[in-house]
Amino acid sequence: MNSNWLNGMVIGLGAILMAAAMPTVEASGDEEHHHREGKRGRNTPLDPVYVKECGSCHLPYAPGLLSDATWQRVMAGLADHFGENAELPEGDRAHIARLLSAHADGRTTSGRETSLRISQLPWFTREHRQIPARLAPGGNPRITSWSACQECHPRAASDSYAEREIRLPGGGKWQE
Amino acid sequence: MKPWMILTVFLIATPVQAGNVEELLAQYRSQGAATFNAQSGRILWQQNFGKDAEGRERACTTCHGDDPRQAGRHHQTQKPIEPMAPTANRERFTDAAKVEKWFLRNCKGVLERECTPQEKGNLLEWLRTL
Repeated sequence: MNSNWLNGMVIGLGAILMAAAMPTVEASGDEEHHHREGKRGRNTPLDPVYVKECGSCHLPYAPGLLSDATWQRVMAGLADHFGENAELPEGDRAHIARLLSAHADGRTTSGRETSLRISQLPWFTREHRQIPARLAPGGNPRITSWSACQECHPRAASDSYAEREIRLPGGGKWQE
Repeated sequence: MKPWMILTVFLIATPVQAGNVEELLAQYRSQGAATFNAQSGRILWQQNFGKDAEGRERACTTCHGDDPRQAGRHHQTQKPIEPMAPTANRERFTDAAKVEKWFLRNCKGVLERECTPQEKGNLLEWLRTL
C-alpha cells in the first residue's frame, strides 16, 4: 500500500463519519416547535378495528392526543358521541378501549382535561390561535368543525401536521 | 368443453352480492316485515325528523345526500361517505353485520329509535333499485 491510497482511505473514512454525525431531524424552527407540541399526536395505530370503527366518520385520532381517563369517558358514552350515535358491539368497544389505554397520553392528568374534545385542549388552542376568524371553523363556511383536521392538514391521516403543508380552505397556503 | 360445462362455470362464478340483500330481506321478513315497498323507502330517506341539539336537520340526506348514487359527506367532520346505492358502490350490503351496525347507529341518531324490520327492508329495496 502506498501513502496516496492510505490518505484516500483516511479522507473517505472521515467523510463517512461526518455524514453519519449530521442530525437527521429537521433543524428548521417550525419543525422543532411541532416536535415539542405535536409528538403526542403521532401514533395513530394501524389496528384495523380501530381504523375501521373510529375512522369511518372522522380521522382515526391518535391515542396519544388524550389521556386514558378521557378516552375511557369517550368509550363509555358512544350512544351520544358528540351528538351522534356511535354504538359498537361490546367486543369491539372493549378492544378499542384497551388499545386507547395502552397508547394514551400519559403526561396529562384527567383532572386537567375538562372537555372530551381534542380541539379544546390548551396546546391545541395555542397552536391554532393565529388563524383569522374568517378562515377558522365557525367563521369559515368551507370548514365547519375543528374535528376535520384533514381539511387544512392534508396529510393528517399520516400524522403529519407540518406548517409547510397547511392549506386553509378559502385562504390558501398558511403564511405565518 | 361441452356447453353445459361452460354455463355451469359461469353460474358458479356469479358474484353473490345481490344474494346478500336477499338474505337481509329474508331476515327482516322472519322478524315480521310484510311486502317491501321501495317508495316507502325513498320517503323515509328524504324525511326530516326534526332538528338536533345543534340545529341540524335529522335526516338520512344530511350525511348521505339526496341522491344515494352520489357520495355523501359527514355533516360535521366533512369526511366523504361512499355512495349507498349498490349500482354506484358494489361493496354495499355485502356485510350483514355492517348493515345492522349502521342501521342501529343511524336510525337511533335520525329517528331517535331503532328502525323496524319493515323500514329497513323498504330502504334496501329502494336503494337496490337505483
